[in-house]
This record gives sequence, structure tokens and C-alpha cells, in this order.
Amino acid sequence: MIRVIAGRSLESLVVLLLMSLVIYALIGLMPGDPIDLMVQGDPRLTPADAARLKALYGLDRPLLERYGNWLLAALGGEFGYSRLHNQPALAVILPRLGNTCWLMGASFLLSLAIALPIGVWSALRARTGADYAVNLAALAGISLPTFWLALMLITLFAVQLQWLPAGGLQTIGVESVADRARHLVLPVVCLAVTHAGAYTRFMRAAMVEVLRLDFVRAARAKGLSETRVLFAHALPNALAPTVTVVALSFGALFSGALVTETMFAQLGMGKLVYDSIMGNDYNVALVALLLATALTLAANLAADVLYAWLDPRVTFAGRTP
Amino acid sequence: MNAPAPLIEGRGLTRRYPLRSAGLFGARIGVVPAVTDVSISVSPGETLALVGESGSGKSTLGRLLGRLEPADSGRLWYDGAPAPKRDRRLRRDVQYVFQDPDGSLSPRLTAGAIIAEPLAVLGLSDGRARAVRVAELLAAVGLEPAHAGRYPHEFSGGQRQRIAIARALAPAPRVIIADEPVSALDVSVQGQVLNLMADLKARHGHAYLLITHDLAVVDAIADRVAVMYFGRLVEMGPRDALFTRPAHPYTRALLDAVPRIGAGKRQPRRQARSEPPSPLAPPAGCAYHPRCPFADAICRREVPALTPMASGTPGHVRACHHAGRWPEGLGSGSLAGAAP
Amino acid sequence: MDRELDGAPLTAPLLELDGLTVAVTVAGRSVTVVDGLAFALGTGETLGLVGESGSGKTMTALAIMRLLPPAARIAGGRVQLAGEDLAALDEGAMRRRRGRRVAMIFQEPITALDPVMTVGNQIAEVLVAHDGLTRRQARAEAMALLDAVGIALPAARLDEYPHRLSGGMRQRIGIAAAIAARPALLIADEPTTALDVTVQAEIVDLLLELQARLGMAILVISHNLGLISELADRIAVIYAGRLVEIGAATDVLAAPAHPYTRGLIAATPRIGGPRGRLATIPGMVPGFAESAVGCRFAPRCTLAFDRCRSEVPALAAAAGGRHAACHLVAAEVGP
Repeated sequence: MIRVIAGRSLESLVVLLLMSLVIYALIGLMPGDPIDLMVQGDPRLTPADAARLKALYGLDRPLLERYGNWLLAALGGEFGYSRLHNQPALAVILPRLGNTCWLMGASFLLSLAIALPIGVWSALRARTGADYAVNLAALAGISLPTFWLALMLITLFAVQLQWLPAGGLQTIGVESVADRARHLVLPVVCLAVTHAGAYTRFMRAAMVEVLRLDFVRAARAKGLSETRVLFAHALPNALAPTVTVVALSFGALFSGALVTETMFAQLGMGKLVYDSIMGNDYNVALVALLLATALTLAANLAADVLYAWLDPRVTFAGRTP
Repeated sequence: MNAPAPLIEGRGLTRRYPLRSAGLFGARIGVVPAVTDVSISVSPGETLALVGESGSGKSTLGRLLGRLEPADSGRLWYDGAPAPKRDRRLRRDVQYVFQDPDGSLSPRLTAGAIIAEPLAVLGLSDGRARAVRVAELLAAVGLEPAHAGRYPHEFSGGQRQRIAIARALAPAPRVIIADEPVSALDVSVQGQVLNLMADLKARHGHAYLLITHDLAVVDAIADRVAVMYFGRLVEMGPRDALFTRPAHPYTRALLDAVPRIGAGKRQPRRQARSEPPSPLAPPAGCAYHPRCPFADAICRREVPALTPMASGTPGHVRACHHAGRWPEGLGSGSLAGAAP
Repeated sequence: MDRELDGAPLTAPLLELDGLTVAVTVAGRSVTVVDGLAFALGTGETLGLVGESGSGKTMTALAIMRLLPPAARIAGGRVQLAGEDLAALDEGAMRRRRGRRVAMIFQEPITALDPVMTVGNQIAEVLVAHDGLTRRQARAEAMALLDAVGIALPAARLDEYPHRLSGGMRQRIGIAAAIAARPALLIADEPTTALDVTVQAEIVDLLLELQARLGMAILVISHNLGLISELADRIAVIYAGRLVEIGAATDVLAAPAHPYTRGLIAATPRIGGPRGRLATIPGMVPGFAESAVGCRFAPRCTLAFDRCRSEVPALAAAAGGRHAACHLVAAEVGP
């Protein structure tokens, strides 16, 4: 088992490597490079200066060669310098990554805590009024624009009721966990609500599917209590597929974080990626995007491991007939 | 041999399925032998039944004989000559009917379109002529011309199987490979479909390769029977010879296991309980030896060859080291004629 | 219930269906799928319920278990098990009867076992639920049950998941779980249909052996006359939700009284049976939506006359102690 997980991690690394090439190439294809920006910003620079600078920074080399150089440096832990922040790229990214992880992690757990029980509850009442109501609410959660929901939350809880801060990471000059947590509440709720809808529907669908299966009827035929039928037989079977879909949607959570961070003035990865791409801060954009990719790959790997743990038919050697 | 020249002949056909671990670089962790070194032929106009239990390789062999999938080794002859890799004649002359008409008929096509499809693909006919042919084929399988415009879900199971047969019949094939054609049907409808298959053969003269687990169906309509176990032929011969004098312990076990209607409530018998071998760990020697009451050292060591019976019916062959030497009284003995 | 018209069991009745009617709601319309079924099953006896697809045989089994799908309901009649009407019990009381008084095994051993629970736990949970055993006791008992249903190396199999076992072994597990709480009645719905021929025979042997040892009654439900013939003492044939014939198995199979039973037996291919053209029953099994005036078999019956198409035949005694629901049989024997 350990060996196979190691093997799959290796696979993920290869995918990550390929993705780094793709991302590097895409950023390289964007119009304008740092030297062009310098030339625009400083009318005294002649085209000859620009060419010299490009040669100096290696920007006149073919893309693949530049990528090779970048990769060699990156493997040595050297990710370049941020143009906008005048700091090493990693020094810019890591604190932001921490903030985003808090936001994503908390809202992920909150959305599961909302979605799984409601999904099961709704599946048990499939095609009744309660089920339709849940479905409608879930659909609303999915289709609410994040920015609108964020504005509503801010208006209600920060402006009208003044219970919670409207944005930012912490109150200036206050260093306490409670203060940080208060600042996280609204963005976490905002992000959780938009994803809980989808997760509820996954959970409900998986549970409805399992409840139709023969072994549920067989479990009832044994005279087991309904609680045992549901929680010892149906739920474990429904969880495995739900886990997979939820893990695969992790990427969506990341892009959702971007909007949420912007609305609540959280300094996180989403905002950083956006700013660095718009500001041609290549080194930061590249590393930030790669970290996002790595996060998604890790989520998929975790889903595979979890699935194999939840369903003994699934091994890393493939599904046995 | 004065038997007619075979239409399709497989020589030493072998097919293995690799078993891979999941993932992008999944390693080959094993090989499942589906069909191993099988030589078999189908003669013009005969009904050859291929019997065996699930996992015996009978369906795979059926697909190899019609080139629905390639063999890993061995050769396929068609009409007296080696069949080329892409043989248009083979694609036209060998047609299939599958067990599950629900799965093998496209739900989005009308019955008419389903039947016309092989005609169009093979370029046998065009527009108007095709419509005429479809009507003919529907009539041939006992359906109305008006049925051409209906979709598969509007038919009963038996009718869907008739549509599947009409589709197989469309390019006027010389062999129809029917894989469990009536297993999914009600008993009262099974006979209708089997009778239809017999009638069509009488009229068109094609051969059938009937793949089935149901020995009673085989006894009713087959000319010859081939028994498969774990990917190999273990016995093959004319129906009467094989049913009255089974020469392989497995054939005998199969025949013994068929319930006798009206013979009264059965007395429980003690028998060796065993499971078919795992395809990942095939037994050495004769694959049947772990279940065979007569197995000895040689069975555990050597794969028996398919050989003719010393005093048997011509064409009756079996692969058993001890055929003819095991005690006659074992099992229920004479089988044909046991039922009222 | 009129025992004279029933094809009575040989032993004291354990299960008596009295006018059992099951209705299914399809597209807002109520359709009767089991229509006034009445028969009795004696203690320790095996009754074979024979029918084709759509005959209502599985619905009958699920109605007895009170496990009908949401769209179906018991619309009338009684299900007397040991003198108690199961149809009238509240859900909690019915739950305590399931597994304990009446247990069931299913057609597909592959799907009837929970894929993510070990087979040992799937057997042990029955004992925990009904006998109040501790997990440890239940596990020991489950091991004994595995041995009783002929599973080699039971200690090693306890912690296996179902997918690691062959179809025959899975059906044995299903049987072990069903008999764990020693029910008086075992309902076996197509217990061998999904299995290979040689394995089928082994399961038949196992059921016969367990019945001899435990004395339970078996209601075996199948379309397969061969299976029914080997297991059953008596046979009940149903067609489109109605009982058409009932009697001792050997009598019914040797000299069927109802034209449908005759047709079904003739159409079943058998080794050593007639060759060439097979006997058939014209037409097809009717859908429930079709109108049910008169005998439901009349449209396919070669002997049908006007009365068959207008009047439902009642179950009448036929020669040899059998009973059949056919106007011709009633006419033959006379009032």
C-alpha cells in the first residue's frame, strides 16, 4: 500500500512537471515581457538597450531553453524575484498560501458539515416536498454569484448589525487568534455556502442510488433497525463516490477563493495570482499557479487513497470484478 | 475425413487479457488466459454449440472466430484460406446476436434503421432497395413492416431479440454467432425464438455457432457440441454421442447438474464442493483436476491433449488422461431419455 | 379460507396467504400486480411458486416480507404467518419478525451483499439484532454458520469482503445470514438463477440439507421448472398476478391441469426432450396495464372460448388432488 501511494505520488510529480512546462509556455506567450514594460516606462531606453537587457536576462533565448534554466534554478530552490514586490517570489507567496489554506480548509469543512447530513436527510425523503425544498436551496447556493453573496453578507453582518468585520485579515495592531478568526467568519461562510449546494446534491444523488440497491433491501430483510440499515450499510457505500466528486471539485474551491479573497480584502493566493498576471510578475504567477496545481493533484491523490479505504473492491491495482 | 470443408476454422487460437494496475503508468500485474490453444471449425449449415460456465472463455472464442477481436496467437481460416487481417468477407458473412437485446440495440435508432445499418455499412444496398429489404427481413422474423418505425423500448424482450436476428440476417451471412440468444427471455418465449432461428436456417442455409450455458437448449437444436473449461476445449463431438456417452468428467458433471423436471424432490447428495480455479492462478496440468474425482499425478502435471475416442463416434474427441478408464457407474449415468 | 379449494399442505399450515392483493402506482394510476392470491404453506414444507416475468412472484415475496418498493402497497388480503397477520403489524413489530420468523435470500448474490462490509459482520449483525449476542459471540456463531453452509476455512473467510468470493460462495453467505436467527420460513427468490449449472446443483443440495436439519419451511420462487421440481413438495403456478394451478409437485409436473402450466412444461427445453421444433406458447406475457377481463391467459390459450374472455375462472378441484383456475377444469370435474 505504502509503495503504491509512493508510486502514485511520483505520477503526480510527473504531471506537475508537465504542468510547469505548460504554464511556463502560456505565460511566455502572453504579450509583453518585463523588458517591454521597462521600455514603456522609461522613454530614454532605446531598442538597442532593450535588446541588450533581453540578452542579459536570457529573454532572447528559445522558450524551451529558458524553461530549462528556470527549472534547474527552481530545483535548487531558487524561484526568482518578484517584480512587483522586490522580494524573492517564495517570500511573497508563502504567507499568502497560508491565508488561503485557512480560508479553503475552514470553508471546505464547513460546507461538508452542512452538505453531508442534509444530503442524506434529503435522500431519505426523495421526491417529497422536503427533498424538493433542499434541492431548490442547493441550486440557489450553486447559482448565487459569489460576489453578490459576499456583498450581502458584508451589508448585513458588517454594516447593519456590525457583528463582524467587513474585510481584512486582522484588526491593525491587534494580534490575537480570536481576532483572526472573526475576520475569517464571513469569507469562510461565503465560500462554504456556494460549495455546500453542490456537495449536498452529490451526497443526495449517491445516497438515493445506494438506497435502491439489493443489499439495502437484504439488510432490511434481516430485520436490522432502520438506523443500522442506513448508517452501517447505505451511508458507507454512498460516501465513496461522494468523496471522489468532492475531491475533484477542489480546483473549483480554489477559483472560488479568488473572488472571495478579493471581496473580503484577504491577502491570499487568488488575489496574488490575479495581481501578478495583470502586473506581468512572471515568477510569482508561475510559482503560485504551480502551487495551485500541486494542491489539486494532492486532493486527487487523497481522494484515491480515501476511496480505496472506503471501498475494499477498489485497490490501486484496479477494480476487481 | 469426408466432412464438408469448414467455413470458419480457428487453429491454435489463444487470447489473453492483461491485467494492469490503475494509474497513468499502471504496471502489468498479470495475464488472464481467456482462450488457450483452441482449434475448432464451423462447417457450412451446421449448428455448433459452444457450452461452458461463466469464465470458460466461450464468448471470447466466439468473438475470435468472427474477428470481433484479434487472437494473440493462432490462425483463422475462412472458406479454405487464411483470413487476412481486415477481411471484408468475414465482416459480411459472420454476424452476431447477443444475449442482451437491450444493450446491443441502439435505443435511439428505429427497428428499421437498426436492421438497415449493416446493409449501409457494407454497401450492399441503397435507399429504396434497402427499405424493401428491411420489410422482407421484418417479415422473415415474424414482425410487421409497420414495426420498422418503432424504437427498441416499444418492443418486448422476445421482439427485440427478433430485431437483433433480423439485423444479423440482413447481409445474408453464412454464419450467425449467437451468444446466449434466449437466456434473457421468458421460457414461453424462448421456444419461439429458437424455432425462428431453426426456420431461418432451413430457409437460408447459414450455420450457427450457438454459445450457451443451457444444455437443454443445446440438446434441442445443436448438431455438434464443444465443451469449454477454463479457456480450453475439453470435449467435442456430435450431439448424440456427447450427451449419451460424455467422455470428459467435466461434461458429465455438467450434464448431471441439469435439473430433471418431474423427477421428484431431490435427495441431497454429498458431492465434492469446489470452485472454479482463479484465472490469476491457473492450476498446472489439466485445469479441471482440482474438481475432478479421478485426478492423479499425471493430471496435475500434464495438460491432456484433445484426442479421438478409441471406439467412439467419428469426430468425438476429448482432453482427458483417463477417458474411458473411469468407472462407468459414476454420476447419473445415461442421460438422454432420462426425462419423461 | 376454504381448505377444500386450496390444494392444502400436508402439515399444519405455517404461512397462509388469503386474498393477497398488491397494487403498484404507475404514472398516477393504480395497477394490480398480485390479484387475490391464496395458498398455504405447511411447517417444514417446500412450496415452489412458479411464474414468468411479470407474474407477480417477486412482488408476492416482498409483500410477505413487507419490503415492497415505495410505489407498491398491499391493497388487500392477509398474510398469516403462524396465526398472525403480517400485513396488519406495525413497522417495528414487522422488523422484529424479519430475519427471525421469515427470512429471504435473493436472486443476485453479487448485489445482495454489502460490498463494503466483511461477510462475517454481515452474518453477525443478524445475531446481534435478534439474539442480543455480543459482537464476540456473534462472530463465533457466524463462523459456525459459515461452516454449516459449506464454506471451507470459515475462520479465514470471516474477514473477507464479498467481491473476493465466487458467486456460489456469496449465495452461501446470503443463506448463512438468512438462517442465522433460525426462521420458520425461508423465502428464496430465484436463488440459483445467477449461478452456473454445477453451482446451482450445489445450492439446491445445501437448501435441502439445511431444511432437513433445521425443519424450516421454504417458499422457493422461480421461473425455472427444473429447480422447482428438485426442491418443492408442492407447486403453485401464477400467471399475470393470479394463481392458476396448485398441487403436489409430482402431480402438477406429470399431469398439469391448466393450459398455461401444460404450455410452460412443454416449452421448457430438457435434455432428452423432443428435438427439432420446440413447443411454444403463442403471444407474450401480458403487461399489467392491459385490461383484466376474464381469464388472463385467454388471449394466449388455444382452448379458450367465450366464457374465458368474460368471466374469471375460480380455483376448482381437478383430478389427482390438484386445483386449477380454468373453466375447462371446472366443467370436467363438474359441480
